[in-house]
Amino acid sequence: MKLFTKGLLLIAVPSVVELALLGIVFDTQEQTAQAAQWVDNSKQILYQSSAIVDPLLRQAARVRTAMVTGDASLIDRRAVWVDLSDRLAKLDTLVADTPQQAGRVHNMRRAIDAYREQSVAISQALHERHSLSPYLALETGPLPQQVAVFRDELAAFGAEASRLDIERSIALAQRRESQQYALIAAVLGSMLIWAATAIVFARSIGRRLEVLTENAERLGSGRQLAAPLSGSDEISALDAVLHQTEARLREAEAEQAALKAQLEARAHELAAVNDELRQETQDNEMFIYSVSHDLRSPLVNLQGFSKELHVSCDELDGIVASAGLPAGEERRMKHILDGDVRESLYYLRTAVARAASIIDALLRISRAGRLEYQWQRVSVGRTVDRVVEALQGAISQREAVVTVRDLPPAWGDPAAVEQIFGNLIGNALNFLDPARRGRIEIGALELEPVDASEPRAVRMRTYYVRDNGLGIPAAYLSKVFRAFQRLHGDVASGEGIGLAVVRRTVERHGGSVWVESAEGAGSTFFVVLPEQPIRL
Amino acid sequence: MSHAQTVSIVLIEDDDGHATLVERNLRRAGISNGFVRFRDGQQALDYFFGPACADAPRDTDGNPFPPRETLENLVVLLDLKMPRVDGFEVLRRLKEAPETAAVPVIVLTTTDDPREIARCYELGCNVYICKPVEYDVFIEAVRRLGFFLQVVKLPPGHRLAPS
Repeated sequence: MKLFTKGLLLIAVPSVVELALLGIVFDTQEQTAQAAQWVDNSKQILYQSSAIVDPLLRQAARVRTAMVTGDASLIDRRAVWVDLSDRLAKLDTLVADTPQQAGRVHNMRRAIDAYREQSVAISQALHERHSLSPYLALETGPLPQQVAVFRDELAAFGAEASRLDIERSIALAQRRESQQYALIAAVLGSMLIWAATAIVFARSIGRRLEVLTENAERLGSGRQLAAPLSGSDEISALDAVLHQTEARLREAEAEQAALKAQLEARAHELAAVNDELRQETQDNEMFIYSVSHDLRSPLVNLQGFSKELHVSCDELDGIVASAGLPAGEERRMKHILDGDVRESLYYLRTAVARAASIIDALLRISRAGRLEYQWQRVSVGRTVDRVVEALQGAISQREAVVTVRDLPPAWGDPAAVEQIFGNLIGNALNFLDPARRGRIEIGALELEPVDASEPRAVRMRTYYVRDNGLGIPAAYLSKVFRAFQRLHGDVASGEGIGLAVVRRTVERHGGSVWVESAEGAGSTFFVVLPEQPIRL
Repeated sequence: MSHAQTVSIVLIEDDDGHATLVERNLRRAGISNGFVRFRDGQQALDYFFGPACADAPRDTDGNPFPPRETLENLVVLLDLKMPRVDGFEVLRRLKEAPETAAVPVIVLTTTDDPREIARCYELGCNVYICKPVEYDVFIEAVRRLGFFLQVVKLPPGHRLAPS
């Protein structure tokens, strides 16, 4: 049932009852009024009936007097009869509802009419001087016969009227009483009805609204909701919606928890994989280190003994020269010694030197990953100053202009930081364009805003080394940080591991390094280093 | 050169080539001291601390090693990477024992790892020379070593006490 219907019912039902009660009240009131009128009526009847007899008696007296005196003028008074007739007509209308009384009134009228005729006859006789004897017999009694009849009828009428009057008075009293009861019942009944209405309202709407409100509050605070409300109105519909919302919320919460757990599991996995990778990288570096280190030992022999061979060749030269061999044999021997043997030795020694430098490069790379860092606050400005000072010879030789801007301190290993900038600035110097005056600029970018909500976020500083040198073709940009990649092999010597070492070192600091470059215009290397201690 | 004559060089080196190169270049640089060579740390420890057994230990050629008592003045050239007992252990034992603590030890190895260098100095090595792969630099290093050996002065009368 809709709330509207409920409200209508709540108003309509008591109103109907009220109306019924009012009807009863009005009904009793009307009845009482009627009873009162009846009472009034009967009083009037009594009054009229008592008043009607006197003029008649006076007329009878006059008739007798006239008969005695013989004066007819006493009888000829028409007004008496009119008065009597009026009074009888009034009585007749008053008793119209009781046929018995009406009959009596009728009898009375007949009696009066008869008496009137008699008196008219007497009067005529008096006028005509007739004998009054026929009438005298009629007037012998204390009252004329018709008058006596009238009186008897009137007495009966009066008795009946009194009885009716008493009856009606009692009825009126009863009606009055019942009217009182009806009024009291109406007042009490309406009070009861409204109280019942209030109770019904409280039970079916007020209390349910309370439950609804509490459910909404519980939903807001995430507590368990009460059992769903019964019924089919808007309140229970709203409650059903609340319950649905709760179910959805619980579902979403469960989903969120599952997702969170999944995410955490993933994070753990990732951390484990990261650890594994780090371990693997270390293992690799250890492997590179031990292999290259082990390779050094045979290289020492290779180089050492090729030198020994060289020395032996010199000695052989001397012996051959002083031995005084035949010219042909001496020439052949010299050819072998100076040509074949020395040439072979030359190639041997260059190969060994190359192998040695590769091994050195490998050792340097592995050391960049293995070296234990002395973590501390590093003044990058002073470090760069030192690097520039150490490179002063190359700088003035190339007539380059080196600009060092304000460099904020970083958190790291001083030697490693120096190595980073040494490599980058050295590279910039090496790959300057000979066609124009070299310019190298070392600086730091503005501090990037740090996400303050992430407590583990570490403030990072971005430094850069910018040159106007040869630049790097776009195709090679992705390779510059790999080991043994040499782009400008003709311009500078080296194994091409400087940037690989820089990358490894920066990564161990928790930072990153990248390059932006345009071929023929120059390159800018960016290095991100932590400003505060970082948890690796 | 009276001192130099008495100074013997104890070379502890597992690589025959390295040993040969070191000896040849030292000789070429004019050093004529006596040479004793051990192939690993264990041999060296046996020689320094082992029981004085009847048949003195012999080198590869079958020549007997000079007895410990005659080596009044010793210089040890020590490689680090060796089978069985490595150079660190030998260095530690030599510097630990009071009778050998004064013997100068020159670590001569291929490693230039700063941590290993630091560790050697911590253990008490006197000089650390990295075997350079470039031959000329190596000779220079050995020459300097030879020069060091020629000027080294050891307290006279110092004897390696019998164990």
